[in-house]
Amino acid sequence: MNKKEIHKIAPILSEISHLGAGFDVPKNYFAALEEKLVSEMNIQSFQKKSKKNNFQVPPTYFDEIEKKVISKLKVESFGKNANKKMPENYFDTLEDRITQRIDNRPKVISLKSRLLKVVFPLTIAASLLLIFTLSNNSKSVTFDSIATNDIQNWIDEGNLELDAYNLATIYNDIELDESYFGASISDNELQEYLDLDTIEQLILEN
Amino acid sequence: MIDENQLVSLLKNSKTQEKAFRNLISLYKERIYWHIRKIVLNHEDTDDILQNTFIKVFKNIHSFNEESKLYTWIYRIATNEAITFINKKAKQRQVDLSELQTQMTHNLQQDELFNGEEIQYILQKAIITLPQKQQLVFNMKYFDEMKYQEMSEILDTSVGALKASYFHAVKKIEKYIKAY
Repeated sequence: MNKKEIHKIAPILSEISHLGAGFDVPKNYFAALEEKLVSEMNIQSFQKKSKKNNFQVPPTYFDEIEKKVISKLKVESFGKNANKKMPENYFDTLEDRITQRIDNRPKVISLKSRLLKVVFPLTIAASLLLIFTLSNNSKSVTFDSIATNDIQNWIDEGNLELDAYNLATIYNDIELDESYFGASISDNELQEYLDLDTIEQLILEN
Repeated sequence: MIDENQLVSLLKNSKTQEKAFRNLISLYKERIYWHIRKIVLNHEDTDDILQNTFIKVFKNIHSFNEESKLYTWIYRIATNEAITFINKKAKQRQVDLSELQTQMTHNLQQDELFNGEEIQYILQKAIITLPQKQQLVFNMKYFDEMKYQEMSEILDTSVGALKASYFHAVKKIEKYIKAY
């Protein structure tokens, strides 16, 4: 489409075409452009060169580094253990031997469980019997004849005093396992642990 | 005037590169500037894009295969840079392209480097109502009076399609101005 054709279909556009777009540029903009761009290129080129790594490594260095490190580690490990001998299959059987030792270890009877189930009731019962026998000389006293309330009152009045020192002195053959003091032990666990034979043995010991 | 093929060889030679680059800028700076300016409208953005265009030309001169003219290759880079720039700007401002162009045209009224008369301002307002490709075709033909063949190489569009596009653009703009 030439100018004549444009004039036919768009007379207004044709008339204003000589005006241009109406944009302007700052003074000397085009005159300074080459210098500005060449400076910019030089700066970019310098930055690229200054960032370049000037150090080099031998060819295939990075391909072989894993092998080298592993070989070195093997040599060092051999040097350290050269004078030490261990039985054949030591590591193969180690796990079984440890498991076996764990299964065969002696059971520790904790002081807490003894006190809870045997010692305290026995101590309380013996004390109550003594008190009630002394205060009721005329009658024979049995456990059945003491009311539960009487026992509770007796404990509430502070008649049962047992401190750690006393316990340690009396039961010096018992190994105190501290880990049991803070642990909560269920009734089932205690029942399993204390079978009848053990209780009888404890009564005899005390 | 230096032959274009000779200029390309000088640009590819590291010893003659800088001088050739100065020549290249000198040859094309104004035409490329005005091409970009009509897309982005303000001088500051045009200056940035123009510099980026020449730097890209310099950096990629070794990949220029000389199948097309150096002049059309530079034009193509400049067009891509300018289009990418305004699309990015619209994305950053979270507006669509037509809204951004409306803002850009509105800013011309306060632009010290726009000395157009009222009719030229209306013309700019009319141009931004066109689809993006039609805007490019109209600017290149109406203001730069570029040949269809050259436009075809730059925009990678057939001559026939360009002629049709320009015809539609002219009619729409005339209609817009009449109705204003």
